[in-house]
Order: sequence, then C-alpha cells, then structure tokens
Amino acid sequence: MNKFTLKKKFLSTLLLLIITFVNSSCVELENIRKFTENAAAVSEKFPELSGDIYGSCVRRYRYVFIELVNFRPDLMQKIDNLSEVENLDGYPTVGIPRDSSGLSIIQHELKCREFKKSHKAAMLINKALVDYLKTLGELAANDLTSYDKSLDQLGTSVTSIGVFEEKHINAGKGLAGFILNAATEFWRRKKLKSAIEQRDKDVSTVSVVLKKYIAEEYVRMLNIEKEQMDGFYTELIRNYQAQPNVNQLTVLMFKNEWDAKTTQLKDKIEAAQAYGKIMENVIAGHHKLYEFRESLNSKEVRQMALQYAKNIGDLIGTFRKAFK
Amino acid sequence: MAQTELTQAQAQQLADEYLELAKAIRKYRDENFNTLSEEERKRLRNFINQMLNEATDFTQRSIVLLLSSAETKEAVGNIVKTTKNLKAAIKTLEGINKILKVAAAAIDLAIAVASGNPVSIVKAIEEAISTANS
Repeated sequence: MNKFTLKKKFLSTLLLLIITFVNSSCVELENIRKFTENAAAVSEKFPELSGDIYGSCVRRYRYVFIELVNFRPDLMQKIDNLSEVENLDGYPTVGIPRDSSGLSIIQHELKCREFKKSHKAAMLINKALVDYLKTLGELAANDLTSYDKSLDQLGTSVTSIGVFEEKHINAGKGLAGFILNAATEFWRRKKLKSAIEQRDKDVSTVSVVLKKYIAEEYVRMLNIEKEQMDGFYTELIRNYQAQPNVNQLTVLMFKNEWDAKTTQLKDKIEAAQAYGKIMENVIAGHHKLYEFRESLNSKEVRQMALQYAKNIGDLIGTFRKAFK
Repeated sequence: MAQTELTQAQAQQLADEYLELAKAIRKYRDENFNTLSEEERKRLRNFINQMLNEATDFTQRSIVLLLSSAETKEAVGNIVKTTKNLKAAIKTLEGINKILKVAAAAIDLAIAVASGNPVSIVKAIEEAISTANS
C-alpha cells in the first residue's frame, strides 16, 4: 500500500468518525433535553401546590370559627369573606368570639398570610431551578447546532453569483456543515458538562428544599386541615343527631360533603407526594448526568435520561387529578 | 443557660408532635365520648384546637427556616449565575446561524446591486436589514 492510499484511508476513517460523532451526539443530547423539559414542566405546577398552603391554613381556621359562632349564617359569611379582604383594619368581627388559644379570627388570618410571604420566596427558588433546567434543555436541543437551512440559503446565494459550479458549492456546503457541526457540538457539550459539573450539588440542595417544602410541610398543613375538618364534621353530625326530629337526608348530606372534602385532601396529598418523588428524580437524574459528564453521548446517558424523563412524565397525571 | 435558636428540623419535629397529640386527644375523646362530662368534652375539644394552632405555627417557622437558610440562598445564587452563562452559550450558537443568514443576505444584495435593477436592490436591502435585525 503506498503512502497516498494510506493517507486517503486514514482521512476516510477520520471523516467517518466525525460523521458518526456528530450524528450520534445530536440524538443523545436530545434525550437530556427530554429529561430537563419534563422536569421543568412539572415544576411549573409548583405555584398551585405552594399557593395552597395559605389556602389550607384559611380553610382550617374557618372550621374553628364556624363552630364557635354556632353556624350563624351572617357570621359565617364574615368568616368566609375575610381572606378576600386586603386591608383588615376595621373588618367587622362583632359576634365572632376568640378561639381557645385566645386568638381572634383576624390574628388567625394574619398568621396565615405569613404563608403567602413564604410562597413568594419559594416561587423564586422554584423559578431558579426551572430556568436552569429549561436552559440546560435548550442547550441540549439539536436545532441549535443544525446549520443545514442556513447553509442551504448561503449556498443558493453563492450559486446565483455564477462564479462557482453548483456541484462544488454543494460539496463545500456539506463539508462546511460537518466542520461547523463538529466544532459547535464539541463546544456545546463542553458547556453542558461544565454546568452539570459545577451545579450538581446546588441542584440537589434546591430540589431537596422544594421537596421538603411541598412533600413534608404542605402535606403536614393538609393533615392539620384534615384533623380539624374530621373533628368539625364529627361534632356537626353528632350535635345534629342529638336533636329531636332528625332528618336522615340532612345527615347524608353532611356525610357526602365530608367525603368529598376528604377525597379532595387525599388527592392533594398524593399530588404533593408525587412532586416529592419528581424532585428525587431531578436530583438522581442530574447526578447521573454529573457522573457521566465525560461521556454525555454514551448509551448509558441516553437510556438513563429517557428513563428519568419517563418517570417524571408518569407522575404528571397525579397532579392533574388534584389540580385541574 | 444561653438560649439556643430553634433549628428547622426541631420546628418540623415539634409541628409533627403537636399534630400527633391533637389526633391522640381526638381519638380519646371520640372513644370515651359517652363517659365524659360536658365540661371535659369541651376542654378536650379546646386542647385539640390549641394543639393544631401550635402545629400550624411550627410549620410556619419550619418553612421560614427551610427557605431562608444560607445554604439555600447560596445554591439558588449559583444556579442563577450558571443559567446566565448557559443562556449566553445559546446566544453564541444562535449567532452562528445568524451570521450564515446575514452572509447569504449580503451576497444577494451584492448581486442585486451588480444587476442594476432598482426593484431587486430595494428588495435585497429590505431582506438584508430584516435578517440582520432578526
């Protein structure tokens, strides 16, 4: 074999390797995009979960005070409307007694409003995570390093000058595309690797905080609400049944209302727990990317990213049930 | 003795314990309802509400400590910084596409000028400006 043939063979192999590298890396980075896209989509449901912590607090004190005012309709209306009032100064609370801790209904509402402040802080933390995941996904998207259309446009323009032959332009366009794709793919992966490497611990910290906030704190609030609600309906039905001339339809109505609210709370608790599992998937998925950061185009990463994307996708249905 | 600050884990534990206490009192009250005096029933009901108030308060404290910890703030700051860098990288990649498009528009403009056709020149200028601004 002469020197020229060897050189030609070497160049063909190199070209083949470049083609394989460029084409395969596109597909595999696309799977990273799927993972981050699903994770970010779920995080967009976060405001509903976080905002309901205040809602749960309000629903709980309403049970306390409705019982205290002995179901008087005019006072019940005042209790229901309180959370809608921005400025509580001068809100009429005559006839609404303090609770057994000595707290007025206004004090309860003000305490609940502290959860609104926490909600705002939590929203900022969630936004940081969503933005990061989305941007990571955008950088992993194939269309960013696909220059085919732009090169076609450039090729058409060059052809119309009439200086070069079309076949030469097409050949040059193809080669330019390869070089450009290879160079930018390499650069893109370097950027992805660097971000994943630097932020793995931070993604874990933030995801754990959001997981605890929803799957532990919010779930506890819902359980506190459930405890208050169960006590409320037990008393309501017991007191009603102690009266003369009990209407069984009314009892059934109370029980149905209680059941419906129990189901609502159960769905919310399941959604919050699903959110916690999703955050676990975000932590584990990101950490796997970190572990395989040197080979983001490997088969392991492709399968793993798809698996985490699927896990997260499967949990989305649980949200839809609770927050339609 | 020096007073120590409540940690997030402690606040969380207290909230859980107050909730469990409320549940236990309600269970006892329900199971012994017929043997309890009216006064005892009322007192136990009040205890339950107080326990649930405490559980809510400690949940609030736990949330504040969780969201405002120095570790959380630092992690959020780092993530925001990296996101900015990633966005800049995306802009760079988008820029390459734009350069290719602008180059094509510039060639079309040169051809139009060479042809001397005013209609083609105006159209090519418009396209070149629109590509450069996109």
